[in-house]
Amino acid sequence: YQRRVRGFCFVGFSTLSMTDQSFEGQQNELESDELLEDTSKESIEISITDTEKSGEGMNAFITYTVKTKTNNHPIWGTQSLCAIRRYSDFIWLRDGLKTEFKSVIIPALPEKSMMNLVPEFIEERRIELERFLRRVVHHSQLVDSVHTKMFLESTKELKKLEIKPPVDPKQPASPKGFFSSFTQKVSTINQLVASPVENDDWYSDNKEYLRLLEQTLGSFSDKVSLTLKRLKEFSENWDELSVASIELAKQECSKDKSLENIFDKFGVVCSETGASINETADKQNYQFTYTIKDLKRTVGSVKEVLANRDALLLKLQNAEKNRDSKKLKLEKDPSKSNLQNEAAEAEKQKDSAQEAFNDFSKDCKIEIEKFLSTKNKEFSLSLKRLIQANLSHDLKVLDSWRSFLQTLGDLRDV
Amino acid sequence: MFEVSQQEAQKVLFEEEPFQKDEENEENENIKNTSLSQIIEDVEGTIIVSITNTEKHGEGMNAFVTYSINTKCIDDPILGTKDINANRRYSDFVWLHDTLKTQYKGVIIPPLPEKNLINRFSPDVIDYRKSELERFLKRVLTHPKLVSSPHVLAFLENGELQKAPEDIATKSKGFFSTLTEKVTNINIGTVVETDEWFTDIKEYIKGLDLQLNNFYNKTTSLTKKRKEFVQIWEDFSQGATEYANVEIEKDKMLHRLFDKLGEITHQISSLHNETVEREVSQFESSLKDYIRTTAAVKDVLTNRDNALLKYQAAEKTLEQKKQKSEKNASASKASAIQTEVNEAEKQKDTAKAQFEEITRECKEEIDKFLKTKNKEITDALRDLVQTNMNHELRVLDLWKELLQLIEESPIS
Repeated sequence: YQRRVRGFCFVGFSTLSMTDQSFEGQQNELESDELLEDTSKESIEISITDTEKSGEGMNAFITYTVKTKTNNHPIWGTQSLCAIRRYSDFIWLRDGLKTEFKSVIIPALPEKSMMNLVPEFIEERRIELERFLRRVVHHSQLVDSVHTKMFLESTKELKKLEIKPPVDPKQPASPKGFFSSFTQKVSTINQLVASPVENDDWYSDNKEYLRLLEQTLGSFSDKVSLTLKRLKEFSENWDELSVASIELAKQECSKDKSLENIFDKFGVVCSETGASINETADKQNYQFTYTIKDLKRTVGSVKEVLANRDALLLKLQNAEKNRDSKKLKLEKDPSKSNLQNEAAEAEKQKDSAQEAFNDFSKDCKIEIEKFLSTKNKEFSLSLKRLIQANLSHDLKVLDSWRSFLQTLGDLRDV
Repeated sequence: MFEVSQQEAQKVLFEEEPFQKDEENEENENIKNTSLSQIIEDVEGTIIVSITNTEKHGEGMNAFVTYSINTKCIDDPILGTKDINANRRYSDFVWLHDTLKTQYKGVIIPPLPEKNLINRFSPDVIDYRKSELERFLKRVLTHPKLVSSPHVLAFLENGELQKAPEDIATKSKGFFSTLTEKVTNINIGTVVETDEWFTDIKEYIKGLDLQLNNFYNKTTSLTKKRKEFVQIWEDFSQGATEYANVEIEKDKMLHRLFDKLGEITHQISSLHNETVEREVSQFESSLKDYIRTTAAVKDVLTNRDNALLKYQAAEKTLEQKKQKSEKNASASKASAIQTEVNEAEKQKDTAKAQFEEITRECKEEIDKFLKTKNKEITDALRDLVQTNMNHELRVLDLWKELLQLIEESPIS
């Protein structure tokens, strides 16, 4: 039973979508916690079911099998789709969505990596790409994009497809498109500013906040990753001690049965401890590290939207400058009709730039506020999982040591 | 009666906490000492030895540490009743150890801590040494044979230690060592073990030594890794707190949660520090002690092997002399050869007696070792378990604190 979120809604960036059996239980837990809208029988299910390494050496790459199953979907109806995609195809999709929906925070993709394609890395990537797609199709605007449709359906090479950007009804039709470069025909008297001056407190405040957020999340994520690495090494140490203990037990076999028993049991304790540490480290990785990295990437996506707004702001401010200079000219020579026309035209341009900017800012704000509230929910949920993983580890280990203590205690009476 | 009292003393001594060095409150120490001795006054023949102080002397290359040893004897059959003090340095302990090794070849001599060239004067190392040396003395004094050595008394009374050159020569080299004794007999070959019990024990000790060292190495790897976590969790804590501070205006709830996460991970870091310290000072040192004792057992077996070699060589010599006597019929040489035979016979008898004596002593000692080693290693493991359980319990409580905070916070 899948749920679909309607409306302009930035869906949580942490729907832990693992197809790994061992995490199924946790996944269900998460979904029950998330307050997604309960909708009717419309559904879309996406999964990356397979990964395959192709090519050799320098030219090697991974392909991902993307399977889509829909049920009474407004776009696809009820059908099954399958497409083989590689990482660059995902980039193609994201770039397309970025261009089409400038005020929407587009879900983030995992970074391009030159790293050797080891199984752990491939699995991690598969999960993250899957998560990306699920977010895209659960976003009411993004799912509608022709890029999305092509990505899920098309058997042709995506890069070769020619996709016309949709006409934005809010923007005046201009031959170059609204987001054409800032190289407007501006009088050389007016100096073009390189970057806009932020005049909105809410935005300047949040820009700074997002900058700091990205920075600290980056360093925090590094520290968490290092912790997990060391934990895995620690579990190996316990395993080795376990083996050594069992060897020692064998040695005592002939002379001291009780010591043999003790070292055997100690070997068990050590190996159970090591296994639990390993398992917890994995859980922490899936829950916590992913969440932090993901959040950081999403901040990057937010910054993209802010950059789009900045571009409009710049345009607006340049239009204002232009209008002001034209006005000035007219004031000096009010009778000239061509100056009157230019001034009027400049005013019109400034007005439309203003409108575009205001609308965009409004949409943007909604997106960012949704992001902030979702962040709270996702991050605290993730933290809760972290705590639970550690608690269950501690309890398990305590049990193990306790039963060993009993073995030692029984001996005291002998 | 004597045996029992020594055992009781041993029990008391081993369960005692090592004395805390406290220069300002030596009074308290003396009181503690006295009350302890008062408790065991009823038991005849008790000896309480303790290292009460350590002091560094000199500077640079010539610097060394002295240990102040206090020995209280109460009605001891050998040492009587006295309260003696001595100041000894590490090399003096080595002298005592090696002297006892030469004197009592069939006795498992309690081991000494290793000579340490690095960090000799750090308080931790000195502390560790102090407790190991104290343990050494306690063991010597509770051994019925070793306690009666005049060298022990001289050591404890601050008397002069006869450091003769040959005392340095007899250093144990281990099980497969070549002969360390100077033997002129050309019939020395490799030892042929005749006693199945000893063949068995040699195998056992050899394997035990190997596995113990492996076990010890894996233990030190583990504690070394745990030490790393002190810094790792501290860094984690810093990261969490840093992030918490970014959220201080925008998201008070996340700020509180991650601030708390920073707090508990900081405490987890400290816990690891505490735990590893205890693991090293208790478990690791007990293991190391066990390994040293096993090496001491090997020394004793080597001594017996040497005695056996001597005996077997003497037998061969006697055989050769006897054959020589049979071959030679001439009267002139007959008496000379007979003397040689008699001499060889005497030497063989002496070697045999020595061998049998050391074998008996050896067996007794090893039996005792097999019985008692169980207890020490079990105690060490028990302490390790409790240390680890304590650690986990406290970590558990910390995570619970954070869980409670989350559960109290509304998730919008």
